[in-house]
Amino acid sequence: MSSRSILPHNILEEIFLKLPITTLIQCRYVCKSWKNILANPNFAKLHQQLTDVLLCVQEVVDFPRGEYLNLPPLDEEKGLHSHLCGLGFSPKSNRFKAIRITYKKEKHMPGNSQALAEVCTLGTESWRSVGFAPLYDYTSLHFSLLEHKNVFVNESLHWLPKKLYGSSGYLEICAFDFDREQFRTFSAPPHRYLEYLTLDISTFGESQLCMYFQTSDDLAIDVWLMKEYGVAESWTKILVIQDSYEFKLNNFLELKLNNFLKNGNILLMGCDIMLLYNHGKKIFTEVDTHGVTIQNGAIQHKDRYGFGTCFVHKPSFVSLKDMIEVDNSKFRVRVLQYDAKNNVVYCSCKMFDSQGILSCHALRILNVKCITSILVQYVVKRWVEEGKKGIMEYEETSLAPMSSNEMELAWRNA
Amino acid sequence: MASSESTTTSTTTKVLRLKSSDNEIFGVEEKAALQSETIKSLAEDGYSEDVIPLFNVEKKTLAKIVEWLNKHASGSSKEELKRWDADFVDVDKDVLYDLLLASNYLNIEVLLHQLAQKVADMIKGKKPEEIRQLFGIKNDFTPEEEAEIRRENAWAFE
Repeated sequence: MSSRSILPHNILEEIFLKLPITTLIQCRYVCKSWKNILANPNFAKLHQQLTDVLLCVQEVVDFPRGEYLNLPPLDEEKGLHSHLCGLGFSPKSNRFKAIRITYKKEKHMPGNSQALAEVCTLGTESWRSVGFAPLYDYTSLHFSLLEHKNVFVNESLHWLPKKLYGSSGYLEICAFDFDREQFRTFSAPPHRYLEYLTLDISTFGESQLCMYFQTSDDLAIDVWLMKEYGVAESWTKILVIQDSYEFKLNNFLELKLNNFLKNGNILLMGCDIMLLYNHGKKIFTEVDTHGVTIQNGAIQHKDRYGFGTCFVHKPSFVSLKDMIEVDNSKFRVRVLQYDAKNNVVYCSCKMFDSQGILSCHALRILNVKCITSILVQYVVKRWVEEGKKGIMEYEETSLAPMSSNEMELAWRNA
Repeated sequence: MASSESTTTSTTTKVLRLKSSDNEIFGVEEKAALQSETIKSLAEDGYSEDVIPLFNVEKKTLAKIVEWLNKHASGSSKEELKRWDADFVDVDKDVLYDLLLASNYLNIEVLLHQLAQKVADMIKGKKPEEIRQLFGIKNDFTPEEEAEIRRENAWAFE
């Protein structure tokens, strides 16, 4: 029996890739060979591509891991209806925040209802008002409540307002800045708006906003990129996704662009199908959703609130448990971020900033990320041999350029 | 199943003969057999006219694999295949283990994924002790090492 337990590494990896991170951590100490496979950075990289955090209207749901966190409930008794809810991160306050926009149906004054915007800092227990959302008109029938996704780039959440055209007559995009807690709007790409079947916004890369339109004449999807954030003149059409023979009509109709994945593929959602599109090869592949139902182009979460739409929030390899620590039955928020590109780890408890030692939370994220040595930039100079000599050469070379904040930090810890 | 005499008629009904490690011969239509990358490359190497030896697969496992290959080349509807696959992987862990090794050796990616998913479902949510028990794995950590890992990952074990 025991000889049967030895599976080749590639098979084990195949199995591990299908497991949620909480189980993977348990797997780490089943035996040494399992631990070694899981400690391999290449494995972490593979796994990262497969995990994205999805959010739900009144909950934050870590979709692949099935974890969720309840947000304070919507007060349905007051006749409020929710239009939009999204999650964002505010670097200034080191907090994840959720925003929701609610409105009250007033039959007698159509077009006159205003949409109240509220923000909830994750871990607190109430919503607070941040004013009224712009371009709001619930009598506008262009969009149903569930149809569109919102997009977090540049510290702001973006969405298409219910009132399709601003005073200029052009389609506008709404944005909410989580740092300043303010709204702004800017123009969408110049496009033949009236002939579309679907249109929506999405992220491109880590930090760019894009928008796509599917036209009814040839069903092709045009993708536009906002090259310079906030500058309407910088919208550029970057690619056109054409129908292929294998996914004719029903599947290709009202296809929604969900995400540009790191490997260059594009994730698309059809009415009841999820597709991966490889633009280089112009090939579509159907994605196995492992039993999760897709209806009307959205993942249906088995929720209690009626709103089933989920949307992808990325990048995050981190479990919700890492974002929020439960302490004496009260939530305390620790925001842990790991930037793989610059090898920067960030923890909201600021222990490194204040004491020059990485906190257990920051070390944990390195652990989760399967990084086994302490990153060079976190070995403060006073701990190294040269530190005693008092001759500190400032190295400008290898490290990524620091922001003034980091510079100050480095100086204080030197 | 078509007999080996029919190989001359047309390419669509060509039958490849696969030999298990314990010398049992299975005839499989080429279209079905070529879902295995390993068989494909062996066939390209000139084995296609006589018997293709599969030294690492016993007959009881090869019979299951052949069953899978035939089903997946039969043009069944997606829903039917899904149901059929669920039944196919619903076997005890020894059979599962043999199938995993065989699908890995024969390089049948789709089957390997299905089997890996089945094992993942068995592991999901289990504690290390339970996983060891499930697969008969020996705990080769010293108590000190185990305590160390447990401390690092304390948050994952409530």
